[in-house]
Amino acid sequence: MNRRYLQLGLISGVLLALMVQFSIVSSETLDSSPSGDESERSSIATHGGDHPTLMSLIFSNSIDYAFPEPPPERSREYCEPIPRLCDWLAAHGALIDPLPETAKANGQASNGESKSAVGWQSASINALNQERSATPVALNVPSLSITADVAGVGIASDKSMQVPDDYNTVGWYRHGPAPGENGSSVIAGHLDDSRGRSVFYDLQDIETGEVVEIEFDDGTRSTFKVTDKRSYDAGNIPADRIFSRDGDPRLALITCGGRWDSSAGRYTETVVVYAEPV
Amino acid sequence: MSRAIRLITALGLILTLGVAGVASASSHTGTVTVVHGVPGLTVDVYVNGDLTLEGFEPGAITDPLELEEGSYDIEIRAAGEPADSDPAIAGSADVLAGINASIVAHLTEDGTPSLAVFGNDVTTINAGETRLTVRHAAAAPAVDVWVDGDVTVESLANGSEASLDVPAATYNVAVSAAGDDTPVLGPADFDLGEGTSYIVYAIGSLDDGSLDLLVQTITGLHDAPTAVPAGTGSTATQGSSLMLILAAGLGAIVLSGSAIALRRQFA
Repeated sequence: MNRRYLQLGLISGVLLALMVQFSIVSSETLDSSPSGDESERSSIATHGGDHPTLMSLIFSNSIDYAFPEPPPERSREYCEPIPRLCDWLAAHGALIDPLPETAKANGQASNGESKSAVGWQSASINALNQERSATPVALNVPSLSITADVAGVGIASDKSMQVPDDYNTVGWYRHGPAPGENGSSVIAGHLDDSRGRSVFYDLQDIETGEVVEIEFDDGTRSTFKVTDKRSYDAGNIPADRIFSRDGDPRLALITCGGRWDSSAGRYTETVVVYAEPV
Repeated sequence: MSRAIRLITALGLILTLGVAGVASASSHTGTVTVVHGVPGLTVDVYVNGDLTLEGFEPGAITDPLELEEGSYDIEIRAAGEPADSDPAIAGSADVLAGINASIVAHLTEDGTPSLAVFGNDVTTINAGETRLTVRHAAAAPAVDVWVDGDVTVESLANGSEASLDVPAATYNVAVSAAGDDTPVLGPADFDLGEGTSYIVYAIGSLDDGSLDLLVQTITGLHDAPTAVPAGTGSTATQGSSLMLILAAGLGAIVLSGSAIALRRQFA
């Protein structure tokens, strides 16, 4: 044990000696420069000065370290959505009203728990029926001369998405987001039907950058630009991606592709055109 | 005031609430939502001795709380009562990892304030459907729940629940005393959105005329459609039959042509 301390002491002694020597050398080189007050210069040199000596590197950490400004004072409303932020602001004395008076009276001032720790609201059943946002009523793809009515659709008995039979109507999956809302808004149209070619017969010819226009029941319109076109095995579509209800607003236009599989009674592929708001 | 006296009669009531649920292996937290179903009195809720919900009003519901698994002591006092005073309602809840439960301050059938714990079904709902759960948490005898004019849940007693998955739509809901067809709540229309669980609490007291409905919603339980059948194959089959007709036509022309040629030869 003692021997180890001795070794440590020796090594640090040697290091110290080296450092001192190095600073003397650097002060000497500085001293040899032609101008300036010598005494001041040597004192700067011993402390490292603006010369990158070993000493200056060691000291710079502590000398240049600036303590961060205390956070500006905030009211509790500012941090209410993030309880941890409230706790942090309170710990730095930056909360104008650290805890409600009643909580203080109850001896709760010292811990971070207060009513802001848990959010709550009215559970009135009358709040259930919210106003619905605008729903799509028409779709245009100028580059393909497609003009179609949009009908809200749901789920068929086999758990697939309903698609309107009418040859000039496409179906918007009404359980998912409307076009322009967060998530993937899905609009599907038939490739063909009993009469022959249907509304999305030409959809697979669409190119990236081409425009899709949506008209809503409140008279507003929005424009989307095609970003991608994919073809999936019809029995194994990435449903979670196509019907996602999170993320940036996007549009997924769907029709059939590939070849007709008469034994399965469907086309072999599902074509999905992805578009984003312009 | 009478409510306050009632609460005090429940003083010292200790319940141990085992929260049943399906534990998920990955997480060590459970999700707990607190519902205030005792009309007329604003309360302070203490969890493990800490004032966690201050001035919690009747008819209110907390955000879902993620709690580390373990046992939690819950004490409920009238708002502003000292923290060291005897609680009006006290109990403990064992939170297991992965559970999703609702703790409900409510009145028992005879009007005694109490705590009840219900496990919430957060399994995925079939695409196109919605989940409706009704919980009887009111000082009232057993009830029937009417949906679109039919008794859908029969003789639901205080502290019990019933749940069903139905197509997402607007439903007309009413509550009557069991075996009776006079509504004590509703009827009212409710738009039940797809992929969402709606948990409806009947709270209050029949005698006081304070019966009411509260709702807790759990979103994000939706599933996606499995496929998008957008073709009938008519153009595909029509294409091949067209080829057949063309081929047959061509064949006929060739045949008749050669027949004419033959005739000419023999003429």
